[in-house]
Amino acid sequence: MDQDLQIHPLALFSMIDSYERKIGTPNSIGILLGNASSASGMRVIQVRSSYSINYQLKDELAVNVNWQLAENWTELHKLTYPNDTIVGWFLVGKSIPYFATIVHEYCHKNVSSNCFMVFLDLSFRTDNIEVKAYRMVSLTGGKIDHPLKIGNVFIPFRHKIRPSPPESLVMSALARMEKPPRKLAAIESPISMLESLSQSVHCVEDIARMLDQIIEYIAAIISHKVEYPDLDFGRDLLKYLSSVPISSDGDNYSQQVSGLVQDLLTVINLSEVAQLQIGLSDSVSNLDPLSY
Amino acid sequence: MATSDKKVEAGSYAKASDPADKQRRVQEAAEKESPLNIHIECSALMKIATHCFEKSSDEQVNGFLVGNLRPHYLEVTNAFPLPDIPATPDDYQSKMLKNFKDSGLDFIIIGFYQSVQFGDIDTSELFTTLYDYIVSFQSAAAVLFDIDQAKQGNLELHAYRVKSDPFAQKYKDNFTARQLNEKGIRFNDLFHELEICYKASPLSSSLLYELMQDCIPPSSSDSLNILHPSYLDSSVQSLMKDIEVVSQEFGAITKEQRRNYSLEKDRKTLVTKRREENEKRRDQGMRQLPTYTPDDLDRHVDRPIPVSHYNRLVLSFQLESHAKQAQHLAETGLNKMALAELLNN
Repeated sequence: MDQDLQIHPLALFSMIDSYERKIGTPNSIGILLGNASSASGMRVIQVRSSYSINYQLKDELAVNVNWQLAENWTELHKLTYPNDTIVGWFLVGKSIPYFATIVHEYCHKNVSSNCFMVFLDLSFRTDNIEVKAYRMVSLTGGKIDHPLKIGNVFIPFRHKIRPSPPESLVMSALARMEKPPRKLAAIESPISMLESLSQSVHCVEDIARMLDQIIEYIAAIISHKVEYPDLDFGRDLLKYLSSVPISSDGDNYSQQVSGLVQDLLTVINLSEVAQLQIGLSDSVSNLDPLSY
Repeated sequence: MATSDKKVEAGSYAKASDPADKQRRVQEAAEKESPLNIHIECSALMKIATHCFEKSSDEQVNGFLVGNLRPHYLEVTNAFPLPDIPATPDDYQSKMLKNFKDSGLDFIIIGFYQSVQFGDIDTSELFTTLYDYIVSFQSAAAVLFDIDQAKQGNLELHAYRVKSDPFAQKYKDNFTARQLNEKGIRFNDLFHELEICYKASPLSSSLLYELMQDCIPPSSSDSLNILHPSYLDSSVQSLMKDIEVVSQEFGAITKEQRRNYSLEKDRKTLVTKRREENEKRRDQGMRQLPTYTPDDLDRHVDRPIPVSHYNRLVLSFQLESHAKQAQHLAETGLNKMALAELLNN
């Protein structure tokens, strides 16, 4: 069965965090937790979170990993997310050290069969942080009827980074901030409407960009540049177009809009009056003539 | 909104047993410089958002914030959820913190997070929980994650810390008008809202930039909807309900104050009558009657009981937060209407 590995950004950010806090070792390692599901003949493995575990390097050929900590993390994580199990392990650093094969073998035999290794490459050889996934396969030699195991090798495995809605929300909100320390919410912003307005402007810019892409794709289909157009996309587009209400009567539309605007202004007025009233009532209530 | 029965309890980490110890901890917390803002790291923020978004369909979810107490701010470096199952072991919290310590991560609890719907905060429970945290951990902040704003595509968090003076009042369990006047405490002094800042290391920022370039966005949220009448309706309904409850509370307080005034008046009348009687007897050369002691007065007229304003303060704060929430939703709606009209034209 084909396998598809999807990594969530939360797992990657946790890996970065563990790398930054490591002491005395050039790499940081940990476990990957997630779940596997099957759909349309494809096994989809989702890596949802990661936890670091400590290790000690005895020499180049021997490493002492705290697998008990990995079990503890898994046991506690499952209380909240019972469907998650260990699906692999991660390595963060500038290169893959030799002991990675030892760790992977142990993980494969004792912790999770069919496990993956996700390597976060911080060497910046390509000026970027690279996320790589590997599976380990055995190299065998000798005769066919008497194969001899020569060693193990990491084979790259395709993966996608697929954020969930909350992860996407956090990432897009953080990416819009100007410079650190970035403010998520100012308490006494002098013009509070400005924040929601800038949010709306960003949404409109995103919509304009997406519309351009759609129009470009449709133009390519019409001019037969796309050999196999996506039928599902066409059906979705038709559904969205038919769901947009079209008002032929301009006056009715503007009447509806002004009615809505009036409702919203009424709510604003009511809220401000409530706040004013509660402030006055608070001052009056403290005027207790007996004042115990 | 159904609230979870599993309150985020601070107890198991460090218990303050006797009242003297509690008072000492409260005073120590009050003497420390109050942080003005809270810094949340990217991974912690993502953990909070993921847990609240995925798990809170009808019930409130909770979790713990882990980090450090810096001189001017609270630093949240990690977060872990509180499982919403009856079989959560009692030592879950201590096991998690031990794991954090073994992994070389921060392991000090500095507060908790909660999911809220429509900005609906249970102020009384929040105050009590934060108070318990102060007693156990000497520092606490509550981060509230708004689920419904998140579904609309807006990241909205609020962080609160309890001010020190209301602590002393809560400890004494005596929110009388006199004490409130002396301390100058008003309803919006119960909580201090902390400014939230995002903190990211250069590596995290670099990873964020890479992910924004390459990864496939999820399916659309409700952010493209111009108006959310259901959210605004619920918010206004909460506001109207709060107005009614606060009015009832004010009515109850006024009634109690009138009763106290009437009792005090009766007591003074008795004392005055006894004094007048004694003056007459003195003039007539008769033996004077003993003056009323407080115990004697209590036998004739009930002693006025000081009225506690705790509920009023808590409900007033809740009303103000709902009013602000409704105002914010309406203002957002107005912005979107203005943009929609511009686009339509």
